[in-house]
Amino acid sequence: MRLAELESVIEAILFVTGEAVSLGTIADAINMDKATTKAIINTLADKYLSEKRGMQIIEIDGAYQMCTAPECFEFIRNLYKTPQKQGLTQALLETLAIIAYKQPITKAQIEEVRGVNADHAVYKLTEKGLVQEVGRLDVPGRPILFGTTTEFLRFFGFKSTNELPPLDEGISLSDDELDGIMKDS
Amino acid sequence: MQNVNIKLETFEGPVELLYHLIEKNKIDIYDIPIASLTEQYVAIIESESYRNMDNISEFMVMAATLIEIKSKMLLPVIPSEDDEEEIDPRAQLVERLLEYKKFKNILEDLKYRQEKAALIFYKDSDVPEEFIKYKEPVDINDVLKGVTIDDIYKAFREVMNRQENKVDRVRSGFRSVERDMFTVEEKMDYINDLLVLSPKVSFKRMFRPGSGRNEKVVTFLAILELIKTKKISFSQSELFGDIEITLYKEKEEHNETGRA
Repeated sequence: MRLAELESVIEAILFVTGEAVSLGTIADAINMDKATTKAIINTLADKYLSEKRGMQIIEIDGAYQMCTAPECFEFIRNLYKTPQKQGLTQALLETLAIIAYKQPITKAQIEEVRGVNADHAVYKLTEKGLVQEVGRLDVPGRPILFGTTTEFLRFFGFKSTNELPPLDEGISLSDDELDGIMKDS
Repeated sequence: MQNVNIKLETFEGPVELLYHLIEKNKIDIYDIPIASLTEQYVAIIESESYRNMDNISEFMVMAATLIEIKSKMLLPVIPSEDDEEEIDPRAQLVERLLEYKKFKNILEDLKYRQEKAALIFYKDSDVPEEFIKYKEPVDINDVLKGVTIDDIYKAFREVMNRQENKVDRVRSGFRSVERDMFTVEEKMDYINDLLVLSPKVSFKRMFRPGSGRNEKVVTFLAILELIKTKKISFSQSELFGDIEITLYKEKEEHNETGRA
């Protein structure tokens, strides 16, 4: 099959599946190795972008998904005349950020940072599908460990958790440095 | 001290409130004036407490922590012998605030990203149900290719071993719990009655004929108990000879104390 034909096959696959499809699954479907498949997908994605199409192909956690272009948002909203989607509250956003950076993390560890009970926030985030149970910590009581989901990546437009903006470590000093500064002041 | 102007803002937690006060007063996070900060903090939670009773306890814990830090700072520092540097009582609080600040700093970034990402629409899967549910039929010969009877036996042994290891060797032996038919107290009464009837009773006769192991043990415990509480005394004329048991007599006690 020629390259252009494979492109259209992948396009059709992504259209039908709707959800994110892993590179391996696509490669299997078109009988190609992963590297070639990836190259074809990237060419296709670039085409969408350069031609300013209404659709685009994005990468999430090593999988690919077809979705609309952000430029079309205003007009799609006109179609339904709805107000802008409500974002997360401050409390939920803070809790989510803590989970995202420190995952896997227990509720108690989240509470340590914010000094406030995390039950409600974690429940809400789980309900929204942004956070999920990823295991149990091997200590007495075996508390649940929480981590982020693929929906979380989609929610913020990340390709993977590695894309999270770096935490400002510049202000975090070692204990010795901290004591030194306190002594001086 | 200037008046604290409280905007009707709700604070989710004590760390957030503390951080807000530090930002507002442009306090150097490494040199926190604990007294004035505590004052402002308490002023806010006092006004806040009427509206938000749910997590007031968490705010109170922080208030207590602040006061504890202040009192520690007021105490004179005893110069330590070794080189170990004294730890500022505020160090832990500063660490918590810095940790919180790290997350606070990236929130705007995340919010911005979220707004951008919300402009994108996704579509649900259109794959027909029967496509998704379909499972390729399994050829038994394919699955068992290269598997010998030995492999199967090994796998079976492994499963059985795992099962056996699960069994608690001690507890699995417990079948039933029997009621105590004899109690030490009852036996003590019995022995006492026996000695009232006949003043000298052989040790062997203490044990009811046909008594089981349980009863023998209880009887022996009862004898020991009676000896300990000086209700009976015993004597043995020769090695391995019969032991004679009598009621305890005052006279003997004199002897005993005399000896002691």
